[in-house]
Amino acid sequence: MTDYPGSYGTGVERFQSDRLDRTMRDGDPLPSVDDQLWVRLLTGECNPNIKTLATRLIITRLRIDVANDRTVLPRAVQELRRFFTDNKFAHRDLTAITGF
Amino acid sequence: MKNALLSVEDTVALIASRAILFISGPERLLRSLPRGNWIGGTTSYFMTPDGGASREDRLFCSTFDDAVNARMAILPPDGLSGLTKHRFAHGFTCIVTPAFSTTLQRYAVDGPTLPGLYNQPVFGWVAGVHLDRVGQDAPMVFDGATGAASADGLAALWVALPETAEVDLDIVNLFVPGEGDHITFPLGGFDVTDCLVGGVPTNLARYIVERGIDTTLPLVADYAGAMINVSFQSVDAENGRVRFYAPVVPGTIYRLARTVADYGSAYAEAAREGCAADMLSCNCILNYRYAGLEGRPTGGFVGPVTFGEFAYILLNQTLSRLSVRHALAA
Repeated sequence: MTDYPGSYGTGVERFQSDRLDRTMRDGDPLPSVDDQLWVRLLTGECNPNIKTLATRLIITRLRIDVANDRTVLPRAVQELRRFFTDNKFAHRDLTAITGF
Repeated sequence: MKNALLSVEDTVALIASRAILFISGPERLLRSLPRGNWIGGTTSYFMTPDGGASREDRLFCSTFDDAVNARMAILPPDGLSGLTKHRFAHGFTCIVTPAFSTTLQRYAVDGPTLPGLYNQPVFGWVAGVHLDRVGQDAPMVFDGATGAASADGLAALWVALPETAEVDLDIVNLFVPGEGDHITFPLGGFDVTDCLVGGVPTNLARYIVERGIDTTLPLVADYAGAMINVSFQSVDAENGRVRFYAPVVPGTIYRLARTVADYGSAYAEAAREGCAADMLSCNCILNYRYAGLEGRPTGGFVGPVTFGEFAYILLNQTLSRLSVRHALAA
């Protein structure tokens, strides 16, 4: 498995650790675009229990983009974060993704 | 939302009442309908409360009585970006496109990357024909507003809902990946020759024939928790080619599906959390055929039986369903 800045441990332990280094601006329900959580999500290192079909499909599409070409990762992170910003219905998945 | 399998006369009356409708049925009946707020597509098969049925004298009508506005059009193969551009601020989109059409091929490949596709539900299905007349009759779609019919367009109905309405779009897929080798593809598309089986370069068609694999079972991929099928259309071992009903995607891990023990019970279980009869739903003709759904109920789900399903993206051997729920006013 590839190591990314900010990733350590495996499974539940790493996911718990995510809670400690979350970078969220005041009042913003979403981790910032620089948060390594997005990288771990889009490289498949973390697999939260997502319920919403739209969220499942966009994450998978972006994971495939990133698997085929790592250079698109920053754009993929921005697109995924914008998806959550734009769509309140997807916020039901945020707890599983952010750990909060 | 209301669903009903109706005569032409009752459907005409519904259209005359200015109802907003998604209609499925035989081409001859759809062509006889007056202009109005509807789109439609051809099929000869339905899920009814009494079970799967083939009818040439009925139209299945889903009425969107929650809607506050609607617009409709037939989009050409090179105009699919209009799907997300024309939608309302709050609502959902219904689509239907003919089987074997250029539009279907293009939406299957390019649809998943349409900007903003996942921001609002897109429900739909692929229009078909009676199985005895595949290759003779052409699947068709209709725009009721203009009376236009098309064998190669995508009919879209954009529905606006009040802010109090919440839409839920999901799928019921009875298939899960089996225990076999994982299969990946270096190139995407509907037609495949080479793949990697457990990482080993393999000709898929010959692999299937040599192993005696049951191709009524689809390939299944895990899309972050959603099980997405790709179904086999044909296997040509002599020329080493496999054709699918949906494109395979490079970078995706597939496995052959595990056998489903009891379709009827599985649908009933899937319907447990809501009133399936009040949902917009469709089910695949391959499930109808392979699982012998004729005369067998499907957990209360009603709607057309189709040559492919849409829940944002093209699906195979899957039941797609959309429901509308109204939040209680404060």
